[in-house]
Amino acid sequence: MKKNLRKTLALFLAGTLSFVLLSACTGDTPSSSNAGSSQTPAGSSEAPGGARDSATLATSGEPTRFFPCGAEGSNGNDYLVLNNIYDTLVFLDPDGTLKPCLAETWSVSEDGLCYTFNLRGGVKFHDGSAMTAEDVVYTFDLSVQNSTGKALIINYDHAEAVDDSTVKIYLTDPYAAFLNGCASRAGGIISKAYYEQVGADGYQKAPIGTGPYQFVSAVSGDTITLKAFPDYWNGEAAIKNVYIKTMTDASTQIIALENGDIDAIRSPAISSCLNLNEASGATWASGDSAGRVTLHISSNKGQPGENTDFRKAVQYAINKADVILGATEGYATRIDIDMCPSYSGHPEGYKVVERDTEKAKEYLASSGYQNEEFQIIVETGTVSDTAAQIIQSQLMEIGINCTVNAVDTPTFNDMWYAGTYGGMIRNTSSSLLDADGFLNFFMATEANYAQTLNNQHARTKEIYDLGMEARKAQGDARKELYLQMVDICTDEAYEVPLFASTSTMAYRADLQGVKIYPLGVVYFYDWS
Amino acid sequence: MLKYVLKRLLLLIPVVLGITFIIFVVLNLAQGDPAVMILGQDATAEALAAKRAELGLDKPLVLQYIQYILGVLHGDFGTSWLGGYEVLPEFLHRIPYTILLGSLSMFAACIIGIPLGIIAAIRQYHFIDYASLALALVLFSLPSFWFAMMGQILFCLVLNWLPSSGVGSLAHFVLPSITLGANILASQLRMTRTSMLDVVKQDYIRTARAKGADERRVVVHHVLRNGMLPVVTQIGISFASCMGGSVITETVFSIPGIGSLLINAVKGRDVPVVMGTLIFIAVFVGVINLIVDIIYALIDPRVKLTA
Repeated sequence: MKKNLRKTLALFLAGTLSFVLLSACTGDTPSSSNAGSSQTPAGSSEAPGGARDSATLATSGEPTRFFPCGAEGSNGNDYLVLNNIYDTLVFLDPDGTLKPCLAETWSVSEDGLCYTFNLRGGVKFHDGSAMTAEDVVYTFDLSVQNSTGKALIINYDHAEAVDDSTVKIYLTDPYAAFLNGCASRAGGIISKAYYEQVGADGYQKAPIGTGPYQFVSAVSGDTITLKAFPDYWNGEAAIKNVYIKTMTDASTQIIALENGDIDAIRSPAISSCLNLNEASGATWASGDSAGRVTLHISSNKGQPGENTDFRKAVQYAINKADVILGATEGYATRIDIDMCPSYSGHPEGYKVVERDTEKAKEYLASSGYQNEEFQIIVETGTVSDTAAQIIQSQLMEIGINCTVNAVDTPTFNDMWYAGTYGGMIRNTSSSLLDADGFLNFFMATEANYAQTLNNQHARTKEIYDLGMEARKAQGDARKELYLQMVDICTDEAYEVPLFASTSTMAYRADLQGVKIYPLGVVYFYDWS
Repeated sequence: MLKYVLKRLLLLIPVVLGITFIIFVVLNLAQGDPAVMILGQDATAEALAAKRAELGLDKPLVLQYIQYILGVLHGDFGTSWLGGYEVLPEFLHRIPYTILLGSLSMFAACIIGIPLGIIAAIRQYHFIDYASLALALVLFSLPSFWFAMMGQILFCLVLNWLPSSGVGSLAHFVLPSITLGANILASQLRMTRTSMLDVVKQDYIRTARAKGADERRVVVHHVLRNGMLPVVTQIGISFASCMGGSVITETVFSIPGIGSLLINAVKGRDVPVVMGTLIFIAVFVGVINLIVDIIYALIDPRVKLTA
């Protein structure tokens, strides 16, 4: 009896293990968010005739947002899907110029309050329906209903479909970078009919746009599959199947690339690129990024930076060349204002502060500094983290008791919003690639941006007012206003801009057409 | 026996409640506003407040916890705050990968570690004993991420025998299983050896030999049978610790299992995903312990399972 019981139990346990093994081996379990199989691509494959017809890109963060008009924030990982599924009215080239996309031509009224877009004919959504002016109007109306969309489509009032191929967009106030906003993810055109049928959740699960790639499946934690849209208005893409693979470990990404398991890595670290074994058939490229790494000094009560002379001491103590060399191996452009050189509206002739330790010591002495802790917060494991450590040693040289607190992103945001820091190094990007991105850090409380509630320097309001004026101005007048804004920041030492970060891509050398976009966006349509 | 199993399963309920409550409190004490993580930095204060209300974060902590547990009892593990997906289907998709990885690691570790431990004990102070101990020391000391990286370089890059990451086929699990199993193998080897040596010195083994039993019978029927109890306990503990070890292994080898889900959720303060994952791990460890106890009774007739 006992023997039978033992045998039965042993069989049961062995059966359970076998079941588990078999069920895992099939790997065809339902995906969480989207239907699809967990088929994993085995690197690149070639179509008959030797041309490449598929490509696998590794990304360290998983794309999760597939609906462009949603309230949730999105990041560079999401752009991997959004920018390839959805087309925008205009397209922002790597050099920052705007090119026609869904709009063949456009014009702006003299007062800058009305933009007229002439839409391309014969554009189809992935479900086969034709894109019309109604879809464009609907997209913009939907996008600006949430704060994240509003932050990209700035000063939007309303839009109207003049006819099937003409759209007029009216603004409440002129906004010089409005077209850049149209080229952002919030301007990705969605299908009105499909949205009304499936809603935001349905769109997130099975997105359709007019872009060169169609959504196939997303297996969470693993692979997102896209396939070329045969009826794309600009002709079908050369790479027919695209696999976006989530690989969190940087070393694994490099090994997989050198091994040929994957074809490209999005935004690898410069140090990884420099150690790439090019004999394995892997190579890399870099270009200007939209991000700038800047030390922001808090002037909040109780912080050492409350005293202007202390802030000036920090400003004069920093050797940017050493910071750039240490944090980016020298692969970054020095900046002296909190804008990338590639931003439209970037001013010229601004004040520049060079390192001068004697002056720094003088400012420190006159500030009445009593060895209080000057804590710099950074997000751990980032270039800002390395930069902070170099700056720490430079500040300690002149007698500042500087500490670095490297924390994870949620904690960093909390400390930032609460204003509980002496200094903070951020890698800030401008989704619009425009000088207006500078203003984000000085949005006044009337705009009620959570991020700026505790960033109230004595002259914040002055900078904010100039920024709002610059939004309406055009050409040189605009640059003049930005010049005043950045010079105030330099005079008051509110911030010490360090460098414009670099966008990178590592890829198999036989992959053609790889371009580096400032926002870290990847357009698979470029590839062949 | 059935009564005993039922009682043990019921005892899991307060354990899970205790664990989940502690984690819930700790997650709420941790810095980081989930509303900001979801809506991004362009969100206005009003939008953030509305999001907090939507997530129920404006309610008292105990109320939030009770609502969550009531949901779980109805099979609703909530929706990921960051990814927007439902937590339960996500688990069902990911659990097989983690269990497969854990099972293969345990299998490899046991099939190599236990025989090596037995041989090392039988041949104490022999070359093979020293070699086994040295192997155990090395495997135990190596950090798993380093072991994984070296394995990837050798087997994927230099020899090109195995894929470096992913989950397409069983070949994808060879390196991760070895990486996760290395540490377990070392502890199995040492535990088996120590346990066997303890038993070998017992009087009844001398008696068995004195009776004229051949060495094979002495080892298999007397030494091994009695020496297996601590080894079985070790297997149970190791299997449970696989869940923790899988966090690193799944990250390095890009395996979409529970471990990688948990690490991303913790980083993003994704409370529903963290809670759901930990409930699963708590239940899993509880069940493994129960199975270990049942196996005890099978191996050692002196152990009685009574409710």
